[in-house]
Amino acid sequence: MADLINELIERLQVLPGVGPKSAQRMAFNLLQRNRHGGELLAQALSAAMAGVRQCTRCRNYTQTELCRLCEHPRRDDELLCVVESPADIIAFEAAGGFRGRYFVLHGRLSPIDGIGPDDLGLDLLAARAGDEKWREVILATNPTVEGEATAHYIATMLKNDVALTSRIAHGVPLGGELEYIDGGTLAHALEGRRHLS
Amino acid sequence: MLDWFTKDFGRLTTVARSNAKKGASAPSSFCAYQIGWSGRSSLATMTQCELVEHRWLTGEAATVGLYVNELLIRLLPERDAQPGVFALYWQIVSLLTEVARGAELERLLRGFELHLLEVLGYALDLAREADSETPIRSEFNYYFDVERGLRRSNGELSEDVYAGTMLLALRDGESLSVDDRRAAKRLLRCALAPLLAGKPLNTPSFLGSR
Repeated sequence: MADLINELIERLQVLPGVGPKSAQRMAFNLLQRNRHGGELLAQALSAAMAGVRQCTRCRNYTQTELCRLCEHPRRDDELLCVVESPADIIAFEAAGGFRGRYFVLHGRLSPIDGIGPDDLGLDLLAARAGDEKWREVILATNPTVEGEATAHYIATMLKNDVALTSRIAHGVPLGGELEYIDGGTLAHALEGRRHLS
Repeated sequence: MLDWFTKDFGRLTTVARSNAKKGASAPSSFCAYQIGWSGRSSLATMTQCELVEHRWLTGEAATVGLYVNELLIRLLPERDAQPGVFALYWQIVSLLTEVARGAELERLLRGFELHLLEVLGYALDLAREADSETPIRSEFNYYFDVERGLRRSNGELSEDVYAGTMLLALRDGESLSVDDRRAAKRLLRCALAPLLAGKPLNTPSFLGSR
């Protein structure tokens, strides 16, 4: 019996940010107060691990060969947005305003961590660029140095196949007050300023 | 976890406290910060972090910056103060923010690698032949003996044979032709290889760094 509890505590630690103490708290909470919830969680985990895979076109998570965004008939096929993670797609969709297609890298180039182009599916992106007609590819990797290097790498890779590659803007958040914004973000916003006249 | 390069303590790994308010940006590579930390173990806890000077590298300069970072992580042990390397690092980061691309980036990088070898005690002598006072001359070719230095070669220019003109221009930090830039890169990679213990850096193979 003790082995089952210890195994549960150990397995829960695969979740990001969950250490031994948090895992123990979760395990005992499920066992003491929410056994039904625990069973549903186990079923959902098992089903998701068996049934969720990457879309063969954009690498978003899906249960079918193509995800619903790739299969959607009324999205703009000539506009592509490259993002680091499936969570970024959810953020873009929630924000609205973008009706093109996506491509998910599942990371960003990070030589120090041993993450190279092959790990990001860039061979698939290059093959699609040769086959499809994109009028613009928006590089929406995060505003970090690795994100910047990734965007630069992709822009160079696509330069012969795509008419325009663009980078999302970075800087002051809407509703933000300059006084409280950290110096780095403010300096970046200043560098990326837009002309009004 | 954050890896820092500090002026007084060399490379340092800290755990960032997660009390930063949500949405605040994390410390960014290549910027200068004033930090405080506690703990004497190899993993310290960061207690304070204030931006002192912002630097932002874009495009090709970001790739070169990642190469420089990987090089220093591989060459420098943790908690070993290297004020000379620190000054050199800050200098190239500052220069990279001003130079966006092209041959000039490559010239900066070769200069950085040469100075780095010198500061670490493995200077590549581009003025004299190995084990002698004979100066390098523009009309001769040379091969590079990793253990000793440059030696005169009777062979034609090749992967392993370098032109005296290139060596002298590299020493003086002058602009190089496309072929000479390639040769200079090969020479510096050869000079750095023994310090990397036979394990090549990832950045050049992943990103095609200059």
